[in-house]
Amino acid sequence: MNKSKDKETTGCIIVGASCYADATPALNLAAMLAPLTKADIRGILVEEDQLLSIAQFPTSRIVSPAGERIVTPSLQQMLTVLAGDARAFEKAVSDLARASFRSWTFERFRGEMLSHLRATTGSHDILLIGHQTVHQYIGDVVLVHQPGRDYKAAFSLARHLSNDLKKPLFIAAIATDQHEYSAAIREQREMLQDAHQRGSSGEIFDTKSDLLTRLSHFNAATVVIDIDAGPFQTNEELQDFLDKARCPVVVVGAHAGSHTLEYSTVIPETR
Amino acid sequence: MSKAKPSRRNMPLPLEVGELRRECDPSAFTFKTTKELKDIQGLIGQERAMDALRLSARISHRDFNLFVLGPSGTGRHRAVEKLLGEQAEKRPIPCDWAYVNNFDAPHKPHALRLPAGMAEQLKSAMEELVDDMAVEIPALFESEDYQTQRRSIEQEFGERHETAFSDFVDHAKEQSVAVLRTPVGFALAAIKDGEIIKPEVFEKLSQNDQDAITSKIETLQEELSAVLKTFPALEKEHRRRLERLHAELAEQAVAGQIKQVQQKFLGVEPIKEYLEAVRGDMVTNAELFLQVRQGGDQGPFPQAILKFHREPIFQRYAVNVMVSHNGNKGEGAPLEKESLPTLGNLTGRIEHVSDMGALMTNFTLIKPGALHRANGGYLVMDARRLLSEPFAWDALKRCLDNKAISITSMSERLSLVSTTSLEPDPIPLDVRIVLIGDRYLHALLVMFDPDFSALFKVQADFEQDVERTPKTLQLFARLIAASARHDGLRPLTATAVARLLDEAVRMAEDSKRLSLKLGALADILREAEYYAGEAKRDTIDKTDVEQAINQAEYRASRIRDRSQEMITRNTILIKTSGKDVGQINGLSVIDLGTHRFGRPSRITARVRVGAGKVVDIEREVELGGPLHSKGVFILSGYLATHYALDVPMSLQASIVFEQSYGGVDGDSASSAELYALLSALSGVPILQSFAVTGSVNQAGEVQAIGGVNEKIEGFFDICKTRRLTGHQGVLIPEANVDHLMLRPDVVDAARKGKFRIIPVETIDQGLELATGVEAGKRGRNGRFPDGSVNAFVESRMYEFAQLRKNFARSGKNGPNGEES
Repeated sequence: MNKSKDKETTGCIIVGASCYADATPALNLAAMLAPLTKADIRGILVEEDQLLSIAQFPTSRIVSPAGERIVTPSLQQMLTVLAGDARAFEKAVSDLARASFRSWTFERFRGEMLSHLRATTGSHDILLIGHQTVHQYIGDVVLVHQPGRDYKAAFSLARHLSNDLKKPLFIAAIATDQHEYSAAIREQREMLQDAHQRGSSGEIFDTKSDLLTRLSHFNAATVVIDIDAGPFQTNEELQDFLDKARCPVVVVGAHAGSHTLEYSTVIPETR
Repeated sequence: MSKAKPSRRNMPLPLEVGELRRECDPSAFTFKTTKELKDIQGLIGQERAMDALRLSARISHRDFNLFVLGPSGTGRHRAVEKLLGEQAEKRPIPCDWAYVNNFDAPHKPHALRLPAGMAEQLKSAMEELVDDMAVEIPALFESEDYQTQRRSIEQEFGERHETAFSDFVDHAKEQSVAVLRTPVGFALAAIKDGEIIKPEVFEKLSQNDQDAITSKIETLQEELSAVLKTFPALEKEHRRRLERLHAELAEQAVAGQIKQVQQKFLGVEPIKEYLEAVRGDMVTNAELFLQVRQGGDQGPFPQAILKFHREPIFQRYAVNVMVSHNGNKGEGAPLEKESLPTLGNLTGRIEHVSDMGALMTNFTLIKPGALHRANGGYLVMDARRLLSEPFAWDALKRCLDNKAISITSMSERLSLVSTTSLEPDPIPLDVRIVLIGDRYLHALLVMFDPDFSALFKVQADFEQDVERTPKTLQLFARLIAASARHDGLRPLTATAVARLLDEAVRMAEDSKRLSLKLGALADILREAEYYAGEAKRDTIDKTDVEQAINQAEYRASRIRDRSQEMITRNTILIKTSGKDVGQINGLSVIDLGTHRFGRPSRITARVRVGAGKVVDIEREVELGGPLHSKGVFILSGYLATHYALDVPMSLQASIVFEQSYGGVDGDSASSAELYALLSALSGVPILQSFAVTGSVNQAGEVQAIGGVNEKIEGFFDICKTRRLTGHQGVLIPEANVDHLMLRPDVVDAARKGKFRIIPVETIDQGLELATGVEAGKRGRNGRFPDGSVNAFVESRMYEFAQLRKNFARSGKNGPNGEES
């Protein structure tokens, strides 16, 4: 279904994932965020090349979530599974949109997920990158902010999610110098005063690596980041960030910092 | 041969008026109205029964249950209730019983024996406990302390999962292997220069490189598999940690509350044990209290005062009070009456509710029966009703035998349904059963139920009448006074009391006894009170009592009146004057249950030569009962042993109740039948102005019969309707003289010489009176006097014998006398 609609002022809530299992937690977050905006819902299933490559290795195995080694589905089988995922994803998007009386679209794309998602995200869009979790324990809501930059939009989303999930807010920042450190302290104090969930806290890291290390061991329900503000802005940084978070990520300012054009005409990156 | 007149010196005389109706003399009473009389405690004339009642009420042995027998209306129920009520007050208050959940085996509820009055207290305490827990436990689980601890646990386990996976990912990355998510699991792929090695690139690698990559990936797959397989154990550990946390929290809340409840019931061991079980269950199932948590206030009903104990999930903590005695001073043991002793009403029942099409039950659906309520005291039931209910009698015997109340349903007994049911702890039974029934039922039980005599060792046999003495008359007057007061009636005058006592004598059918059917007397009393009220009198007078008696008679006598009308209109032929051979007025009583009346019947006898058989036509057509047949055989025996003893009995006689189509029984008409037969044999007619009643034995003695008053009055009414001539009367057995208590109008007619009641002792006396001819006594020559009835009879017997002999000699066997 390609019923597109330009929403320059209110934007869209975009849910992107490479499979339905990844999309599900992101769709849940989208449902929580929907009341905050009049935005339409866009679902994007990206059939990643590397996933399809795996299917072409004749002797490869896949480890199931239960720890069993199973035969990798063939390419045809994988495509069939992805087709099923697409149908489920599309239905979930339409249900979500209908429940909140708004329009929706669904797209299917083959290629590299992050690049495509950033390329299609508009200035007022909220991007939710789906990621299935390896366990059932709903963790805290993490907000990563850049000291000295506007944090209000991201904080608003993070606080809303924290209240809905009834989970504390963990605010992480990177401060490379005293100035950034003071700003981080001040901003985190302000944010924590407004945080409603008990147990909310903040931490300031010296380097991105420290933050990512912490994040990789942290039980997060979701991570909210404004990549327009930073500190992770490039696709590589964002990919690394996604790999370490291993949970759905809410991205605002996704349109900025990417190498794609601002408007809806997108030229996919070539490798 | 001319007939001899009977000697007047030997003939019985008509009874004096005073013998026809022995009335009570009001002047013998010392009171003017019953207002002056004190109530009498208990009944009169029932010492035997009351002693039995007292024994059964007081003796402690369990199998001395009581059967109260006797006619209805003698005050059995009231006497039983009064005595048992007094006795129950002196007995200790029995304990309470309640069923509670057996948390280990819910289908076997526990029975709690509690001090009197405590069951309801425990029930209320448990309800409060549940309500408090439903508020306290959710609050506890919303506390910051719990939230912090829980979050900490979840964070810990979440991080352990994340760390394990993260470490693996880092380890894989170190070996240039990326972990990819697929719709069906995790795939491992070799990377080079930050990119996944595609199949076409892999194919171009050397075999060694390919093998190395393949081997590396396989090893990492094993490691990843091992990591993922640790997750279930982690999850299990997480669950255990949370359960421990919940248990600790719940324990905090529950222990405190339980202790408060225990304080209220110190020293009661069953409650202590039960509360311990409740504590353990509440801690284990604390999440139940979280399920009913509702968000915020419910309008005018804030959550703090909601009745959570009513929620179905908390039924497990309910207390099902089976029987509770509120422990008030003076309450004593229970005295229960069960008017509908079905199996369920008697032993209790286990109810079921439909849930998704299946029948379900639990301990709260156990309902008590009469045995539960009466436990420790007395239970009174009507015997006939109990025996009429399926399985009730059997269940009662089983409970008494086992000394415990076991609840079974009829459907289980009949194996009609197979559904979840309960096996509650049986409740020990200590009860005295009192059954009230009639004598016939008691006799049947004794004869045919071997368990009955073992379980019901005492019988209270209520008399139906008492000897009439000056003392009992006075006592009876007090009894009447008490009955009037009890029913809120006007007081009676002494004449009214005397008239009522006359009626009691008549009901007893014996002038020397008073009937103890107090119910019937009370009915007359109440109706008399109504008439007194209509007449605007302050007291009940003799006229009111007589009116009540007459009106009751009138209301019930439609059939009697129609019967008499048929006689007076000659639809049914009865003569009250003249004389006839072989015909006599017999007397019978028609009993309609609440009303009896007498009626004359024509009895006829016919004779001819024959083989010595007296045919009872009633018996031949099966309208005669065995007692009637016995009477006819007896009179046949009399005949055979009194006349023509040296020749064979050669008569053929037939006796019948003319125009009787409804069947007859009893031998009270056997003397009348004999008179008719003797009249037929002798040819001496019987005066039709007489009616006769009395049974006869083979010696010719006239024996007593029942219903003598009604029979006399029945014939009197016919004669009165046609006009009393002064020659009419009734011959009755001498032995029935004491039973006479005739109506005042009959007595009045006798006083005026218009009607006679004549007692007879022998057939010969009756024969003389009925025929007006001497009966005749066999002389020393062995013969009856000439002209006597007996002489005529014997002569006829000899004649028959000779005829028969001649017939036998002649050999004739046909109407034309052909030779045989």
